[in-house]
Amino acid sequence: METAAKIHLPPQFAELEPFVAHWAAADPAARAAARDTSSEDQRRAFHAAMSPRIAEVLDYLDTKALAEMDGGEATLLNMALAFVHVVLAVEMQTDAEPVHCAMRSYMMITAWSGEVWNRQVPF
Amino acid sequence: MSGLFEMLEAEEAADRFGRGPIPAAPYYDPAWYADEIEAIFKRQWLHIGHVCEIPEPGNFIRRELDFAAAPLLIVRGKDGEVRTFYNVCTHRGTQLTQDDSGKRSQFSCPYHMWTYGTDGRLLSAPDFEKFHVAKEDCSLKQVATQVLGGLIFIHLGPDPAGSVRDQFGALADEFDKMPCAQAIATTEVSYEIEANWKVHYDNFQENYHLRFIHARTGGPAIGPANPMGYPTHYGFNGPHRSQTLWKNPDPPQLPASMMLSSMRAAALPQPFARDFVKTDFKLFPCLHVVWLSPDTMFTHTHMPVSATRTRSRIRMYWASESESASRAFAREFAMMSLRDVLSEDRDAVEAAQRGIASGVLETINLQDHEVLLRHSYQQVVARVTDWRAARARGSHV
Ligand code: FES
Ligand SMILES: [Fe+2]
Repeated sequence: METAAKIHLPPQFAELEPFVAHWAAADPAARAAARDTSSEDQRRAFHAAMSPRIAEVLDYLDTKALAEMDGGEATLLNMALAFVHVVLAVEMQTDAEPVHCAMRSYMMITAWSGEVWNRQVPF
Repeated sequence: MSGLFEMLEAEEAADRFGRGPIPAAPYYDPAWYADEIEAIFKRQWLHIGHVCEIPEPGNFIRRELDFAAAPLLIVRGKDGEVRTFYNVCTHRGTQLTQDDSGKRSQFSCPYHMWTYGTDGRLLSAPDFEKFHVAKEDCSLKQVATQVLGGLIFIHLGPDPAGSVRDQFGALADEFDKMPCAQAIATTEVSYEIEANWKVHYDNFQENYHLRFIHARTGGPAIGPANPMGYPTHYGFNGPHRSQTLWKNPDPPQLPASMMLSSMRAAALPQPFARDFVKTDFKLFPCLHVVWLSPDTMFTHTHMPVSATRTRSRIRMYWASESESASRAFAREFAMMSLRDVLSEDRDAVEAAQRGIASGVLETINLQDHEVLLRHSYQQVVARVTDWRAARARGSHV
């Protein structure tokens, strides 16, 4: 959390900084966990802040190769990717989100981009 | 896909494959399950991994197949070949490694240091001359392994009658066109479910449950002209199946950010998928291969653990590293949407299993739009029946 606080988003997206600590998670399992551990108020606030800016965020980030992003840009990308999870909760599951969260918890995200984790049994 | 499968409407398919109830016992009976393992799972090429998990010589992955009590090591040899060995030292059986994956130039048994090459040959063993056996006879036990479209398949039978391409017939060439054939990475979801492998796999072979189980996520697939969201056609090719989903002429308007996400994905260039065809292979015995959109393809692989328990793995295959934020965004959206939908089935499938396993029902009922389940069942019965007949004659292997 401390390191996240030191990173500044690109200035035009500074208003999104209050959401960095919870949502700027570095892999899909961590982003799914951010969704799972959030309150409805947290999801709504993030959704409300991000929805009007997401097209602009992606357009801005698309001007950079992923490998060349600086810390603030990478953080902004992680927030955009976390927004995917929140959209599914707020726009698709709506009031079923708490029940869905329990069903989802069995579906472990176990590999991504060459990394493997959380696998209980190698099958 | 119509060239690959014989496509039938529900009524036509029922004319062909029958109507009425089917026995319930095969969906929970341990004796039936034990015969399925022999008759089916030890006689089929089974999907077990992808070449991107072992990109370089010496890379290995470990796999445990409970149904066969088979501890496996899948290794890319110095020569680039992908081979599968039992993770069992030929001295006195010790497992060579407990690591799930890694990179080795050789495998040394921790117990007495017998050491094997990446091709499975015994390279050295302390005081080997005191064993009075030939090194050539001490290679790791090997399992038949073939790669199709980047997917690794193994065959546990002593003598596979045909190749993995033979097993999939005309469908095999399609694998070469899909993202899995070029994939350098996957996003993966793994889970266990308290259900017979057929009860679980059948869930993905009917849309009858769509409007009840996927009340929110399934909305666009349902409309006044098709209130249950049934497919328009069911496809058959030997033991394999497919279906054509109904296209909603007037889908409900998506919420704003859902819409943005799908439009962003659609606007991306697709250099890797010139041959895109919407694909939905429900392969025998229980491998689901789906190509949803040019960049989005997944396999859903099921491994039986017991008569009432299954392990499953969903993998989306990426033909390139994400080159842009929008690509990463579209992929996250594709994988997480899929995970959200498939999460919804779990409770119903497990409840079905508990009910069937109570033994109260002698039969279960299938409607015409559940014809893929019936076809699947008939394929299983044919093989188990043959196996039992062979065993009765004493000619089974
Ligand atoms: S059991 Fe492996 S060296 Fe003895
Ligand atoms: Fe479903």
